[in-house]
Amino acid sequence: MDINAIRTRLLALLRQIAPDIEPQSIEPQRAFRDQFDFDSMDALHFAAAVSEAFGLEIPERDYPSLTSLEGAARFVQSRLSAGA
Amino acid sequence: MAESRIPGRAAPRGMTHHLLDYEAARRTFTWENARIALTGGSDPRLNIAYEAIDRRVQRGYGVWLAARFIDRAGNRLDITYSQLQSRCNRFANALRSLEIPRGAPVATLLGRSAELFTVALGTLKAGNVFCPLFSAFGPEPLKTRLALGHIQVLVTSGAFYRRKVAGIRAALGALRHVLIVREDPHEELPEGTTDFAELMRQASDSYETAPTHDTDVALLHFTSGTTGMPKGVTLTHAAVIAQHATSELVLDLHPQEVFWCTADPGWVTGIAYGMIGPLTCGVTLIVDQEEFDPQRWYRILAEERVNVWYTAPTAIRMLMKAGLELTRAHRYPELRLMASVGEPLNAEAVLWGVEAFGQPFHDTWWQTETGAIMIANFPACGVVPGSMGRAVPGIEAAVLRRTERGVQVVSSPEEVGEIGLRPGWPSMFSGYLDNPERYRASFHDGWYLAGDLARRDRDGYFWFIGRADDVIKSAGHLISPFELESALMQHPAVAQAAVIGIPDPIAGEAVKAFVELKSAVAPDEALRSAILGHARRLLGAAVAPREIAFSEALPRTRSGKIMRRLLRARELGLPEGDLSTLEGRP
Repeated sequence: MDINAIRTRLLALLRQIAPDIEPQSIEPQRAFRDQFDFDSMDALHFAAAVSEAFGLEIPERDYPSLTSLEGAARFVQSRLSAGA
Repeated sequence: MAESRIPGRAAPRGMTHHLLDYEAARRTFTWENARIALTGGSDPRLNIAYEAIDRRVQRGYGVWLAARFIDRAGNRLDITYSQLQSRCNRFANALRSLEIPRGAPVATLLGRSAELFTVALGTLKAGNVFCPLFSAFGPEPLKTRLALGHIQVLVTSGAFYRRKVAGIRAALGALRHVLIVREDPHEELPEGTTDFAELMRQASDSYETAPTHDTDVALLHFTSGTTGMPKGVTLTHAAVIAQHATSELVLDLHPQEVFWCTADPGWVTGIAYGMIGPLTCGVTLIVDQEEFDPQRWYRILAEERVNVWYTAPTAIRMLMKAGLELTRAHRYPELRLMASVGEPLNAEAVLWGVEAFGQPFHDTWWQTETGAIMIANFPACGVVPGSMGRAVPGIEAAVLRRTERGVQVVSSPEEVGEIGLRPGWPSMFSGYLDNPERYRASFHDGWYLAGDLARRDRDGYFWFIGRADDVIKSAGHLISPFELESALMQHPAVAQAAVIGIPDPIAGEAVKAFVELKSAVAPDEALRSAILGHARRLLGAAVAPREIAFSEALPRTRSGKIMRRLLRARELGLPEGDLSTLEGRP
């Protein structure tokens, strides 16, 4: 899957959990919680949503990879290509 | 009831538990003696900050570490009792230089920083009232609390100010000064604010503690009720007596031990046990400035050699979910006591403690109004998994039944009733700010009624059942449905809203909102998302609903009151109960 397509999908998941986020203002490299109001329950829900949307099993030790948009996109891409 | 009790553990070599024999402690404990044990005499003056810092310095603890702050990158900032004393003195002088009168309330909207400790204890030392605000609140709950509290000074960061306070400042008539803790010296100060660091630099580092007494108000904590605005709970300087006694009896703290309370200082636990009580015991506090992260937490427990750890069920359940592999990446030979507070701790979580750390979590129960732990599992006595524990020495607790003839004590074991406490302990709240009727209504026939339902077994152990009202407890935060509903109704498409708590495997309860739309507005996903976004912006992510459902007609009583209880019963498939007052029914 193309990384841009992954990013778009991740953004949609993020917006489902936190619709208060302005997608155009997101800095992809920066942790979500440094940019907007995103608490640890949001982070947990985001990890669950990513896991379901991409059909990936994501152990808790990998959650730190999901704290920024770019981190999450790269993580999903590498996991998808590893499984392919 | 023959519950399986996990036996108590012996104290490490050379140390004795503060409470060894529960029955004996109940017989002999008095609050008068507890006051003397803390202050060393019968001085009629009493000041929380003085007991927490100055008396420690006087007794020779000055060079010991009072607190270690750990930032995101893992950098440590260590502050000794003497250093904390000078910082607090400077802030107390700063308040005087701003001509803030004694007794006036000072609030913080800060992360878990050294400045927060300085402001909290400096404010108390100056004889002013300290009010911590939860930094995850959005502008709406902040406006309500700053206004209700008549806050005169707010200490916050530039980022919080711009995001949450600048837009509501005009509505805050009592607010005279906003002090900004800058992240770096080049950060520009927002208009109409003062530089905290500069003010501190100009202030002297010696200050004579204000001559406060047991009955003087010291702390203002906001908590949520079912109806109406948040309640401003006031605690007096005498709270320190109970916070100190329970830090010994329940948390078993000894001088120079390393103690980590993970609660946010925006709530009462983070102040009573994240700061005041443990400092009066001469411990070193660990303060992690980062948000919850299992690997980080295990690393802190191991590397900082934490002896006593006070945390919360939501965090414990998140650690359980993260798996034992992470727990076992470290060893914790110094960890000797683990306790929990904030919501009921299920037996599975207690037992997981044994599997993961070789020791159980000790559940404790109290609330903002009680000012200190009231019911607990004690380290020397062992733990009954799933139980809240027994009444703390000096506390008379009972299960009560409300009847037409007044309140009655339930004498038969296992019967469910409301938790009642006999007034007379020093940290009992002294009032709800500006609301004496509501304060009076909390007491019946010589009991304070806590609003929590429980049963008591034959051995005197309390078992939590639920709230007696509609207040929601999510991830340890007490959330008022009314406050959330009011915020939802500010959205132009919403006619009516009802908010309930639904069971959540991690957070205990999750907030779900039902909204009735204005006529001619069609429900769709875009609107659902817009309403959720609106709620999060106004309230903050930590308290906003996680889920929104559209409802064509919310169930109401004939008098028009929305029946949250019925919504909850329907949501959970429970019996709907007595519906005789429901609108549209015979």
